[in-house]
Amino acid sequence: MRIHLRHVRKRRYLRGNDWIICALDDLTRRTTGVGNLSQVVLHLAGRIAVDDLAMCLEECLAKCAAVWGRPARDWLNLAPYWSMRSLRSTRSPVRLSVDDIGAAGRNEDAVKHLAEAVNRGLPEERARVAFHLVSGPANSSFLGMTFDHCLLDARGAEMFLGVFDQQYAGRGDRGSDGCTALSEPAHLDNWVRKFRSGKVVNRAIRALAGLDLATLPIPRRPSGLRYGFRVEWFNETESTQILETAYRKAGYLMVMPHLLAATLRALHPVFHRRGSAGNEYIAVVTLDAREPATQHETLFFNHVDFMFFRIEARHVLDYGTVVESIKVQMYSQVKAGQPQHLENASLLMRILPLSAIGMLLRRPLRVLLGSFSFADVGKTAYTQSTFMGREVVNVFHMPRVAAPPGIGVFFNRFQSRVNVTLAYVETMLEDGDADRVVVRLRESLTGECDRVVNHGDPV
Amino acid sequence: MNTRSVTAIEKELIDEIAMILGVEHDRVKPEDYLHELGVDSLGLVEILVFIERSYSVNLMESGLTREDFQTIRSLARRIASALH
Repeated sequence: MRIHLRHVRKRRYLRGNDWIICALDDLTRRTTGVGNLSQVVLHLAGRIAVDDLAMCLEECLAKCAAVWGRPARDWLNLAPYWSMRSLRSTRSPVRLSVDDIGAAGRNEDAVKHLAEAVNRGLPEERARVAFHLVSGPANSSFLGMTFDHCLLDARGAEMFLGVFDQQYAGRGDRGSDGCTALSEPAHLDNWVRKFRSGKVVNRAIRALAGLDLATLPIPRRPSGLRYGFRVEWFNETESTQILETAYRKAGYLMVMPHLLAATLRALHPVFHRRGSAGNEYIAVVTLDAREPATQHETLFFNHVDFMFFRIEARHVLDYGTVVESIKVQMYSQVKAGQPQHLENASLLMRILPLSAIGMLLRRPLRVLLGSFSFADVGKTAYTQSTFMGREVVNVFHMPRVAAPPGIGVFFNRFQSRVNVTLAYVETMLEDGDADRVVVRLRESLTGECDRVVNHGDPV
Repeated sequence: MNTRSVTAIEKELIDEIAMILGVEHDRVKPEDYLHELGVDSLGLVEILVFIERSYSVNLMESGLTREDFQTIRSLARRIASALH
């Protein structure tokens, strides 16, 4: 039974997948200097008054105890939880930074400023969100919310922005209800089921352990590593073409396999050119696990499943073989109950400190980090047509993917349009590489690659 | 031989799809299109796994067309014909 918290509660126990995300945060922080953060962006028609925005954010966040929390451990039962201080406790202000690039600025320039914002990280230990407003391009605005993945996943972040809009529109009580973090039990029961799942997952990992995994090397830099982003917005006609191509070539409703096959095709020349050793790719795919009808009850924390797709490098350019393999693997994993087994088994991992999980992920469990990250968030969970009275033109994401692997491709859909973001540790790709990836991705998604002979790439 | 009427299969599919989508089963109708209900690739695979477990029919390997899949009714008919 789920209980809505009407009053501030001090703790919400973390599920297994939450703890894995926290481990990725710890790992990414050790690798790049900043944790596993992401940024969700609203592109708005018109400008927003900064003072109004600041007041709206402050009023709303004052009601959200979860935003001011941090991971902690129950020393009695050793289960990790999200510790939420009383809202009356001293809290640091949330960062709102502003850039104005002028009406003649381009959307791509706005993306560069947003990239700066997410690369800055969060201002201090306690603040789990930060905001950046870019005004200018054609008198529009881009509002980016950087968030800690330990607190929110992509869909949750989209829904969270909806809470702010409700606050602004004066539906403050509803806004505060949207901010409550539901209670979660400690899951200290059903040990037999958990250990059985652990055995299943262990078998699956051992089957992957001997793989010659294709990866891109992550540079070492004492001053920390920044991320580069390429965001591609498809218009309605192009988006329709993408979905039609998916249905025609991959099968009815088989959008994700089509997107993943296109991603592999686009990334492969970079992996090949960079001399990455490895004959097999593993794509780590994150899927939203919320039930659509109740998704607003699961705003905070991570409600995702993970699936792992293994593709031999020699097949990557054969779309039919790749898509068929993805579909077969998806079927096998669902039939075997693998996402659920992984979630049950990850509950066992909560006993380990984050640094220990990080060590496991860096060495014996490296395959679980894959060659690259991939997600298709699907239709946006930001359902309002406006934000603070401004029409929402688009919603997209700019994630600092976990490192390793340090590179990822993320899709989402706003209204009838598809967006895709390529995110990578800078210097892992040169600018030319990133541009070529995006061109190949566009061609593969829309089916234009069927007519293209080559790009001068070696493969 | 495992034979079921199309209506019985429709009802079972509706119950399963409603559970996958987390909605009340009376919000799902036999003539509804799966994509309009919000079923995605993962949801479709979950439906296919359910079909294999319930009817011992593996539709992944049977060369289905888009028309076979599009509505719950068409899917139920396809399953019924595979059972006979």
